[in-house]
Amino acid sequence: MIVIRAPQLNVNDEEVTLVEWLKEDGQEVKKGEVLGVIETSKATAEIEAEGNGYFRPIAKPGDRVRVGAVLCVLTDTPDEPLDQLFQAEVPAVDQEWQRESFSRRWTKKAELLARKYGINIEEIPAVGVIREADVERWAKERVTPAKVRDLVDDVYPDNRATRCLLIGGGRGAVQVLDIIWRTGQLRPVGIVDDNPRLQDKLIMGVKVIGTIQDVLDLYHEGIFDAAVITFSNDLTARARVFEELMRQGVPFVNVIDPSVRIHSNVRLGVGNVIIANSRIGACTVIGNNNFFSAFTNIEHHNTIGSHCTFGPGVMTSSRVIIGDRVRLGTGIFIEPGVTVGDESVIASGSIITMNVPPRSIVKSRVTTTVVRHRNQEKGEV
Amino acid sequence: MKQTVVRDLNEALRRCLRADERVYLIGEDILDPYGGAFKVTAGLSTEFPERVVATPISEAAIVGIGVGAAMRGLLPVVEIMFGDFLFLAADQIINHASKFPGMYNGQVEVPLVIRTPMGGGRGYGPTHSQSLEKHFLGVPGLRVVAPSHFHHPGLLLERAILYDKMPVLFIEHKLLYPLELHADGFAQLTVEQVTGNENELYPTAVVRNFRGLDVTPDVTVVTYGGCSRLLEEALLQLAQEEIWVEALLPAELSRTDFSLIAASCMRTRRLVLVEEGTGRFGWTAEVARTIAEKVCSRMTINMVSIEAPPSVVPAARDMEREMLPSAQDIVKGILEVMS
Repeated sequence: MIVIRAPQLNVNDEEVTLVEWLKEDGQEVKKGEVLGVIETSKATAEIEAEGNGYFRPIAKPGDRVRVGAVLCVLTDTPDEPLDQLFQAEVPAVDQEWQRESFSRRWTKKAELLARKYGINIEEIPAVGVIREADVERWAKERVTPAKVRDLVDDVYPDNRATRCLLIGGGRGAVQVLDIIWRTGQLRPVGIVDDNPRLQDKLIMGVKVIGTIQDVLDLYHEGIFDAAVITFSNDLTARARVFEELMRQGVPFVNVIDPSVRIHSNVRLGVGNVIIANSRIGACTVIGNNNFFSAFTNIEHHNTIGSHCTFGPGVMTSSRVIIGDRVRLGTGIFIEPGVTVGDESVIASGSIITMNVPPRSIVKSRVTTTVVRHRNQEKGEV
Repeated sequence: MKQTVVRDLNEALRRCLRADERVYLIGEDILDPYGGAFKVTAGLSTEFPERVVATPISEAAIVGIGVGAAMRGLLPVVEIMFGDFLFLAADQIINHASKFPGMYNGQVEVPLVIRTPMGGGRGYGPTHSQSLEKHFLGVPGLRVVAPSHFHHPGLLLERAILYDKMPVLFIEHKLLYPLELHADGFAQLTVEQVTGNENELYPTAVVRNFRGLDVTPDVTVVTYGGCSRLLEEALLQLAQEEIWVEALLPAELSRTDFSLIAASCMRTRRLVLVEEGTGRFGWTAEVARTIAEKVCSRMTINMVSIEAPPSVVPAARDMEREMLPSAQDIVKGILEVMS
């Protein structure tokens, strides 16, 4: 059998157009006879028989045939079956990719998603190719606990301890659980965290039962009464999670260490965490979703916004105003009447003596200077 | 018969010659029966023997004649046989065509169109395969337009000739010529021609690989011109993998509508930049700079760029294939920003 392929007559062409066949299907032809006409971008050209045989067309007139692909074949008999290969010769997609995609039974998207969730994709039951939706379903089924009816709580729902969900399973959660276990006013019923490795793990006896995405579902399933955010490393995420969940009607609860002293006429929002030995002075107003580390001292007549974090030992004087999403380091002193603008960052050890405009990054240090020698003061030499 | 890029351009030239007798075609070997090295002008000298003019081999003279003719009220279209030779006419382009309107305080116009093929993939070697348009970006007063097969190249050429008062450098990738137009989409690919405030004449083609599906794109790809043929293969392949891509191909490179690109990658947070030329200091670098300024101050964008390494284009086909960006390079880049 002789295979006649589309020739490269012009270096610019990737394809030629078959204009017409001059022979009938199955007609006997001799070497050198003209079989048909092709057209390139520059000229038309004749296709000659490269040997004797029976003409069997593969391409049809009007077809654009890739250079090197089969135009027709000359067979030894007029009706021998043609190899299927010639019927279906199409421009190949990348061979390496094809080999790789044939050897796996999931889409790339499913693979990436499974990796993100820390799921072994081979374990996912699916008929045929595993798709994105299969991974999502599997991830959800795996982490969402079935609702368990409580023999006491569900019969006597009044005045039961607030069932609390912790958002974030890091060291902040440890501090919050430390408070909860020592006070007994809240009952922690679960933790959510986006880290797939934490799923189903226990943290101080409390199980990680899903990701942040699951909070709304868990609330609607009646798993918890109020939530609190325990992570403080990413203030933007802290604020976003809080505001989205509040908007969707999820209640938040304050978690306050029993050693914290809250003075008269303090107004406190929700979702705040106040760690041991802190103090809030009289007539101070505090927003929502702040995290106060140990030994934070907020003086009287302060106004604190929302979504702020305070490192240990931040000391404000009276009438200080702190905006939203402000991050304060460790050991900071703020003078009376100073305003710290929204989204500012104050470095550890700073002493703030003047107003800080919004979105500032502030680092202030007091250098030690000898003002006057005491001996001179007393007139001694 | 299916409409190809070369036929679309040829028909546009014919329409312009018929519509306005101020239109002239000037260039080397553009007369019939040869009809130009890439056949874009085939048949036109037969119909308009007075207005299709062959010239000797001098790029500076060809563009110079065009500049003069344009200033004197004609609508000349000059052809530089290979974009690699543009630099022989660089003085005419940079110091004359683009400068005169400003130098004479708007009292003259230079409505000149310089058509030229660029790009590799044909084994034409180091001096006939380059993508050099980046050197003409950032020249004030010069428009650089590069259609893809997702645009209507003929329509863009017609607008450049008849309606654009500025000198236009019109870049045609050689590998696009024989391709079928996919300006209205192809298979799972949808194509939308988006015209912004600044680019009324030259729209951005927005190509998406999720026809009829209710999904949001995972990745933004930004590229132009001849890379559209690679993009098509990559997008069709990734559609099988549920990777949903929104690709933007601005037709005008000199005054790209960055707001479209910014809006897309603010949604996807992932950006893959593709150009065939050596990437450094090029058009995609400018896109990256603008995105860094406009978007990255507010959010993190996972960004990868795909470009030719800083080297000469080899004549050997295998080596050339290795050097120039491929569809698989685009696929890899997209998977990289997804991971």
